[in-house]
Amino acid sequence: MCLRSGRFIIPTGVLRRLADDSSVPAESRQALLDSVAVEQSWRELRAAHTEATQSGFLAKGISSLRVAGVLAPVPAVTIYDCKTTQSLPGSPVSNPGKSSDLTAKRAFDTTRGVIDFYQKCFGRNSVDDAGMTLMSSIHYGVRYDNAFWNGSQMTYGDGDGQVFTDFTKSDDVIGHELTHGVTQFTAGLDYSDEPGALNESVSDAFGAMFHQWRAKQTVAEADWLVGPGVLGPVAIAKGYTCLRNLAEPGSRHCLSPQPSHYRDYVPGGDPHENSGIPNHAFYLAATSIGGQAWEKAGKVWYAALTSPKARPSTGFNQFATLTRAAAKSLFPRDASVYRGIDDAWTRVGIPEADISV
Amino acid sequence: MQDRYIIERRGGFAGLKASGAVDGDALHPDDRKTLEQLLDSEEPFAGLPGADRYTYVVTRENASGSTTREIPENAMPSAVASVVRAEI
Repeated sequence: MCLRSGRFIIPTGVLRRLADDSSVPAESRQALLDSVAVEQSWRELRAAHTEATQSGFLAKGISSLRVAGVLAPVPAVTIYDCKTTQSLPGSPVSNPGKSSDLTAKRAFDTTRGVIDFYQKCFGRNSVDDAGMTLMSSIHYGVRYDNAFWNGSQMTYGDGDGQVFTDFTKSDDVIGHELTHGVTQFTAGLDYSDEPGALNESVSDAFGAMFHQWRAKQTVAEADWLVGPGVLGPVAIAKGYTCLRNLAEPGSRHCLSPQPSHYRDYVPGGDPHENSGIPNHAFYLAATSIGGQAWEKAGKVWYAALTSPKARPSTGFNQFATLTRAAAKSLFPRDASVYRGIDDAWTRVGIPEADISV
Repeated sequence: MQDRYIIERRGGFAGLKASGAVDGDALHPDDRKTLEQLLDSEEPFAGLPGADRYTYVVTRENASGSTTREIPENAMPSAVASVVRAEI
């Protein structure tokens, strides 16, 4: 479990120096001072929320509020409109499921879909497994080419209209962002080096699985692409078909090609780069086992992610070991699951290690 | 030699690098002042919470040499951040 402490983003000294600068407009100086106070309060509040949830579980000796019988009803989904500002969360969108703004409707409907996916496939009640309200902000920034999870909510940009379009247009992107929330409340994987790559890979794998689940696809029918719907006309004209591809991480049709074997691991690389290695392991495992990804391979990955043995510092070897153990414990009578998982990790350069986790 | 800022954007959901450069005189004085204070600050930046956030690596080049600093996206003046273009 991950208990994060409050962290400043902009050094408070910088904020205060700018606030003291007489050449800065008065309203901006006041806003800077307000930011110092609000940033601290907001971070303390969020840290307290996460800490209270996780330490509450630990104190009660339980791994889930679901077990404690204190389930929230179906998690609420709220949508906010940033109206091209970078002020979060923005203005609330009333009745987003019937909004004439297709971005609001897509964010709402797809987030509800992710909630259903986690409930029906993995028995999880929202990202914290305690019915947490899922908040999304849309129309963030001007031509903002990104979507992110900020530790409390999802945020989606509209894209620049050239390389990228609206980031709500690929359901796997929404599944990806919400899975960062699941990871935060479970293994709490650090966001650098191997844990960071695993963090990104888990989001890609569950995002892809969510897309397949909605489309009722088998592993053979799936395209295993990440973000095909968010590519803009310039990217498409250049022959790109996706951001990443779990089946072929190094494909030249990917905007962000990745390594697919541990020998090509990039020390100190971006988590989105090295995630290609565990991404490909998941693809190999799921396609070897067959059927629908969430039935077996997905359950094994989920068991590893939510294992009490998964830690913020968990790397490729430890995570692979957790999946090998989960394959045996979840499917003791189906040896093909263990074989598929073991072979997949071995093929990406993570053979069975002599380690205990 | 006047100040020139070379900016590289890393991270983001796409993991796609973007870069650009701008002369100091081309920036609004307020944006330039903010950028200078960020570059000269001795306080460490903590990483942004969550995932898929942008980080900017800004290098200031002038007659005195160069200074490089990683700056989280929500500290960057938006006009400076908009200088970068994705490399595809």
